[in-house]
Amino acid sequence: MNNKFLSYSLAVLLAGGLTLTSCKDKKATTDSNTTTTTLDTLTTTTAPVEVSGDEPLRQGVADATKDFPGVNATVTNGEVNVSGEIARADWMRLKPMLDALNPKKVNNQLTIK
Amino acid sequence: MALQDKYKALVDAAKNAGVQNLQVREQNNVLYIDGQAATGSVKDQLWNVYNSIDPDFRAGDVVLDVKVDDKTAGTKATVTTEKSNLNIRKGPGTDQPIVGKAGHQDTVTLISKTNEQWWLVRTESGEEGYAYAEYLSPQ
Repeated sequence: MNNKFLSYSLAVLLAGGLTLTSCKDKKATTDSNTTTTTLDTLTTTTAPVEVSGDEPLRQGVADATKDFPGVNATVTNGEVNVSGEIARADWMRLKPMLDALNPKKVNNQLTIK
Repeated sequence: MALQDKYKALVDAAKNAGVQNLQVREQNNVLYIDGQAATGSVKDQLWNVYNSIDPDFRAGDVVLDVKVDDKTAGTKATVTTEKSNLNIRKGPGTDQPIVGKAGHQDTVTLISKTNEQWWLVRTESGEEGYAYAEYLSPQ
């Protein structure tokens, strides 16, 4: 009985210790449900990429594309899909605005004039 | 790792340009490059390198988020729209009512930053409201 209790206590302590250790290196703002690839160069990090939710993304995409009337944009599962027509110089302005919204990716189906 | 090789010139350019807090992460076949550039010209240079590797950003395998933290509350900025007026809105969003306009190349005062996209500003005629940060260039 005592041994069982000791084993159980030890398991709880170990699990607690592991949880603390695994949380230690993560930044407070990251989503722990996201997985990431660990890479071994100076500039890489193990913190997962934060992707915006679809609703804030939709609002941000609407704001960003407002002044590009030929562009249709939709948001699905964190991905921004852009189609329609745009001038090359305008696309050079718009893509940075979209990337700044933290999408999972931007799918370019645009006809570039 | 393949994407890191494909975009090595871009990552190297970011390092060489002294981009702060540079993070390069490859996840689900997308390369995420984040950091802060000292000036808008560094950001432009990196976007040109990106465009030279993937013309018109067709592949969709990079999300490049290099921020330029060049705006300070209390200072002035020029409205750098293409040619039109800049809408000044009641709240931070294009769904918000328009409460004023600032002309192309007008000067506005930066009051406070809401987020990366929106700043509370005051126009020369004293109207206060929210403007899209992309079209504000610090003086």
